[in-house]
Amino acid sequence: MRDFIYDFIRTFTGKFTIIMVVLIILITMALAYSSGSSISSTSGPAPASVAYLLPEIYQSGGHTYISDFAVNGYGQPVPGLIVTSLLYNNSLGSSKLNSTNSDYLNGTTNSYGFFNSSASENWPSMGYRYSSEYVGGVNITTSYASYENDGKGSLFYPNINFNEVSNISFPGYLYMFPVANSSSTSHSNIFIYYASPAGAVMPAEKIYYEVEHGGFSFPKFNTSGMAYLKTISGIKSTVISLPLNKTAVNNYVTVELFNTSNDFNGGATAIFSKSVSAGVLLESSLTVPFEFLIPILGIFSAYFYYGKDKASGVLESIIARPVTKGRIFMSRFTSGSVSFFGAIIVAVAIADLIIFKYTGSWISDHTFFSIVLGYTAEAVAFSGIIYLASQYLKSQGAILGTGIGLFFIMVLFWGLIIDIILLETHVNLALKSTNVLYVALSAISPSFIPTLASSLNSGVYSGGFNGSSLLASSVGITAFSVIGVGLLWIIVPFVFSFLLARSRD
Amino acid sequence: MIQITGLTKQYGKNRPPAVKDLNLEINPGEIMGFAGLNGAGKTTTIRIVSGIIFPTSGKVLINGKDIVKEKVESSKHIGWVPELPNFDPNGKAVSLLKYYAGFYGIHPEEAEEKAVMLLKKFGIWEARKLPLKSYSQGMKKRFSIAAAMMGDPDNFLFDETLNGLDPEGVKNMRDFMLSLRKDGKAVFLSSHILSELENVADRIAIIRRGSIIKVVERSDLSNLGNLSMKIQIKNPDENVESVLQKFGNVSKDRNVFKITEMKISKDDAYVISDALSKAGYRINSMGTESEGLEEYFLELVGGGK
Repeated sequence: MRDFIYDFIRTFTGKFTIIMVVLIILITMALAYSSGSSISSTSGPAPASVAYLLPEIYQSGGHTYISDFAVNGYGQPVPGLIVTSLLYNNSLGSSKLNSTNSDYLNGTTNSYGFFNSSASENWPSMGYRYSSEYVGGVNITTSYASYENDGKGSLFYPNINFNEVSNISFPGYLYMFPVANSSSTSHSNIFIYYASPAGAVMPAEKIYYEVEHGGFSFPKFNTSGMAYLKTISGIKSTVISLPLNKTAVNNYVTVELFNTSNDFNGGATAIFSKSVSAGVLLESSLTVPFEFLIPILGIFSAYFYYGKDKASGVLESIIARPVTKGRIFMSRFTSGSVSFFGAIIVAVAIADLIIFKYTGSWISDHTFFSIVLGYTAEAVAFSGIIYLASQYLKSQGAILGTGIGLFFIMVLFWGLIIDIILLETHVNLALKSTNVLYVALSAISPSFIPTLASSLNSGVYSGGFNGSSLLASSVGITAFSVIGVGLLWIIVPFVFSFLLARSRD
Repeated sequence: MIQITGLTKQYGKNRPPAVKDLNLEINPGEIMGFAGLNGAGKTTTIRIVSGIIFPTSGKVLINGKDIVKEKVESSKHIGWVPELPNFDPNGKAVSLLKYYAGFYGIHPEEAEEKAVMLLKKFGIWEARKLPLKSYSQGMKKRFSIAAAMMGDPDNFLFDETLNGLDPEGVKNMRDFMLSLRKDGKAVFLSSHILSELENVADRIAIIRRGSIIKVVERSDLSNLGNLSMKIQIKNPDENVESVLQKFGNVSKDRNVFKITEMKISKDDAYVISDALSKAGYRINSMGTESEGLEEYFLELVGGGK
């Protein structure tokens, strides 16, 4: 095993490997920067850099208590936010405010996102001016709340900017609005915060939702026509993810809360838009350079680390040492494969950081692994074919020529070849089975593996014979088939070339 | 120790075997020469013994380890110097030797020390910073020997190593092989230069069409092929030939008589001098002659190609 590890490390740290890794990382970084900045410039500030301040104010015993809760665009608490607010005597008018009829309440949110303060004021009419929206910690919106002191300790009702409807059927009131979904940027989550005196938790509330096809009415005030999601209780705040499918794309989705007696207590609505996430954009951007780069790297890696040495006789000078042909093959092949995987995973991880910097959201797990595994499998497959060819071909030129030919046929012209086959066989292009056949024929080339992976990830295959977008599963692109094709392309060339390498001269 | 038993190698089903039922044993402290015409099977045999190609049948044991079944263990005891050394053209001498040393489990620091020592010993230290592609053929061969020495093996395979070397290189190589023998190493030396084989080999195996047709012992090198005798007689007359014809075919060049196809052995040559003395002839000089290795080799393999 030592000889295997030894040769593995040497190949892994070889010049070509280093060049390959750097190339993959640089290209991916450049595209990540492009994707991230493009998403950032079109979709506003990153959700993580935004903070919304949700005040809750009540009076008790001649004191006014204020609890500001800060959440970001994902509905997560924001600690360390510097809050500035002013409690004032609302009956005097803002032009007459001075230190005797107003109190500045400034501070920083704690680790739970709260800034709690109080003032010994009992004015009959009070106003509360606060910074309700921040980007990067800088206030961009100021909001006001007003309250007529009835001496009973009632709550203020802030004039907030969200799609919020409150009801006074229970002691607190609801902040309820759409927030970004950090794991799937294709649709929004719904954030709910129950503002109540002294931190009281929310009583049981039932959540209903409805996709509004063709216009919307909000709120509905009753559960008719709405789908029940779940009941929540005992919480101060929560983020709800709606079980929506693609039929909700570009439609309003309404979410409303009802108490156990089905009384309407609050709601929110948002357009479920199929926005392009930075990760998906990155995956799409990578297609063009990686379509050429990955097969070329796979082919040349196999050529430089095995085919060339084998054909030139350099490998003999190594095989004469205490090592077997099989182990040399294994060390070269696996180090190449690990190099591909390592380079791509590092590149995408760095890309993820870059995208996060610009958009505040991470590439989704599915997109991450779709890119990494798809391109790794493609590189390993092309590499494996050259390892296999090297067992039969005796000259460096023949091996290199095979690699170049492989690139032209299986990368550049494979789509055209399939088109010609389908046209010449006069298949009915309108049939669904034709698209399935098209996908199956495409999968004969390893260059199709990344497309399979991204189609599985998005659920949509957009490379049909007639250029149409199709549901991936309808053309046979399922987890089973994609993993199967990937594994076949990795295993078959490897196993055959390994068996030949260890048994042939 | 190298033991080759029943070795056969056939490159294709429809092709004659390159090596056929070859048996040889090279003992520690012995140089075994390996002579044959081009295509006789010398290189194929050496490549099988080095573990680079597989035999079709037969067995090769290196220090008792099977080169096919116990490749890693047996290769530890083999140093192979090919006719045309082929290394990573962009590799540098020290790093490449260290790379090879890794397969023998030699620690990198020790490997570096050893590499420096060997490169100095074989006169390529000055070229250590150059890529191997810039080395001359002689330098590559010297590097190849250094590479073979990295694992300090007990057995060496030299495949036409003397080809392309200048006289100094040949002499150095000869001295090196003799030093290996002195150190108790087994050396298997294939060469076209028969005179060099004569100079260093303890035995010479002659191969023809993949089979060993003769193994000549060093003690037999001076007594190869047909024996002849030359006799210079001081007072010859017309009857001398009749006296000598009893011992073989006689030819005459002035007072020198040559007997070929002798009917007696070399050890019985005194019988001829007795016969000449009894007949009253006085002998100036008398000696036996054997064919040289080259004549003998050509006689064995010539025309058989």
